[in-house]
Amino acid sequence: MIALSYRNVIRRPGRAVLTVSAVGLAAALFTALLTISGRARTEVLDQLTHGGPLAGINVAAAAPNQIEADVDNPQPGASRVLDDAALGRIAAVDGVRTVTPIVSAQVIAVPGDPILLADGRTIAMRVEDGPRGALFETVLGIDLDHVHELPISLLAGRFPAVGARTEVAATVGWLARLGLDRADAPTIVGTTISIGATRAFGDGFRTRWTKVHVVGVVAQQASSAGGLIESIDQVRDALNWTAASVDNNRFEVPKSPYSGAFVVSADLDRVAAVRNDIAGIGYSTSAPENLIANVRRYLHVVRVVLAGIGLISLAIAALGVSNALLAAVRERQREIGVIKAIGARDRDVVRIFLVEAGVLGTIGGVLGVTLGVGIAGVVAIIVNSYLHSQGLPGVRVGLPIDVVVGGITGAGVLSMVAAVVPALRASRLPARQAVDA
Amino acid sequence: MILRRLSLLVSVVSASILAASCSSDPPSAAPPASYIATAPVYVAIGANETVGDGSTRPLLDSWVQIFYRTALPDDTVFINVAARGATTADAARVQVPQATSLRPTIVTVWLGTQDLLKGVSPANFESALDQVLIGVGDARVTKVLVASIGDLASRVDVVNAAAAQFGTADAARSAIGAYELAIERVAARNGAKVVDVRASEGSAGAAPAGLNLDNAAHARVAAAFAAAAA
Repeated sequence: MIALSYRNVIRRPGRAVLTVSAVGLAAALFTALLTISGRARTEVLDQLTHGGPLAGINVAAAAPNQIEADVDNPQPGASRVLDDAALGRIAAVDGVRTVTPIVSAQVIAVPGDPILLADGRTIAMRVEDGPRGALFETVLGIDLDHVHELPISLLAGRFPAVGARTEVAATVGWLARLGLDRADAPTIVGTTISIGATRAFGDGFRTRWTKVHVVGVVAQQASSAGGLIESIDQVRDALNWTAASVDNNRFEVPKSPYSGAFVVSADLDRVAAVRNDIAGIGYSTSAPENLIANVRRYLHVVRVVLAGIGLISLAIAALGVSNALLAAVRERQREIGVIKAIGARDRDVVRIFLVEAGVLGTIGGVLGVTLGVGIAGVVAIIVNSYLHSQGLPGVRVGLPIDVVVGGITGAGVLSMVAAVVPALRASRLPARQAVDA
Repeated sequence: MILRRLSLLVSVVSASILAASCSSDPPSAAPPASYIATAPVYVAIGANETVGDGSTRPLLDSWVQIFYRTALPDDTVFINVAARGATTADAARVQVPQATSLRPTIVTVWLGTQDLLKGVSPANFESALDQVLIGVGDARVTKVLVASIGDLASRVDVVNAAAAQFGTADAARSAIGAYELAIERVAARNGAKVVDVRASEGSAGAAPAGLNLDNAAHARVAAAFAAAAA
């Protein structure tokens, strides 16, 4: 059967090429649109969540603001101690998947002068930034085991390794403080910073210094002033040093062991309930749940429209397949008659045409999907060159397996469906009439 | 976003921190060491020079900071307990308890200039320095580096200031020599290594406040300590 179909295709190569091209172009359009729209959806949601999970909730060491309970980002109430017991109660809330504590400390950061960048450039400390060669900085401490669940994303390098005590991730705020922009992010990877936590006791002050290497740059700020991110243990050590101050009225030492926490809900639909429960425990929360829900709705509409365009093109291609096979039926009436005369049944004739259409459709699908993925890749290169020129992270276009499989099988199946009418028409031709034609 | 809200208390604290970071007021209590874990700990004991006086930016250009940044392992924690105007006896009374509570692995000691400027006898200086080095001797300490008195005899301003205490310039020079010998004896007794700092060259005279090393002199001192620590 396949051999017979193959022979028919070879006998009319021009028509076969045109049919395969029609199916291929339609499959290419379908694949490219779905690949791009799928990636765009992921990127938009990543931007909204800063690379963190969609069902992420920020918990502040502050009382909830009841007036703005349903707002995504409410103004927190009065400061409140967030300790291990409170985190335990939050972790026990129904629908909470993970709770990642966050601590922050105010430190002195000495980046060196001049700062030698990875690309060989040097930058001098600006006197107004630190007359003593130092900057005041906020350091965030996070559990590096859970760093990928936090709403932060990398511009360059990597996050500090779990357990590392000499590694730090800088933020875009730190770049700005050094007079650099996002595009310079890779150049500060490898630079060294001395970080000092100061404590007061009696009339004196002592600073505890540690040396850290910048191993990565994240796209978000840790504070309005800048910010560095390191392991929670390092920041705890700094906090403990400062917190041990004696008779000290000059330092405002945080009362709360944790500055906040990042909670991940089991799914997006449960975020509101989890936020309510956490507010019931007594803490202010924020989450872009309403924003995400709205954006998802809009993105779904866009995806449906793009998929519709792709399907219309596939339908047009199917009409092309159908038309080509109808022409083939007319041209091959004598051949059909001979086949029937030597004993072929109607369903054998149907099979010949369906297999031929299936083969043409599948070949067109393979070529089209390959072309579509290539088009999506080219679009990504163009978009990335623009994003990089703006100092923004690029997008990655992967190979969406569902789109690839769906595109190829869809093209094959659609071609076979389009061949049903011509195949039936061919099968119903009386053998004698076909031979006489 | 929480990342932005976490730092609301920065501004109030900041000015205090910078002002405090170089303060030389003698502290009155020793810090607890429970959070100094197994990392190497470097503690600097000293007076004005070790606080960073004379350098343009003490947190960047002082010899202790240069020594810490360039000569010690990356995971080393550093605490400078030096105090402006401290004599060796002051250091033994205030800085040594702080240092020992931090359980250091490496200690640098640069004392003597203030003793000289305040007319402390070589015998009392030696006794106080002995107390300092015995005090910092701990099972965890692997290295104690003690600065020599160096070439102070060539510093006219220092000699003149010391002469006011010791009677004559010759008596002051004699005391400087006696200090040098005392440092060598105490270091030998306590297993410490003497570092010849030769700090006079490039320093700006401001005695009796201290040696007031300029940035180049701070860098040379740091290099001398780094060579001794290697």
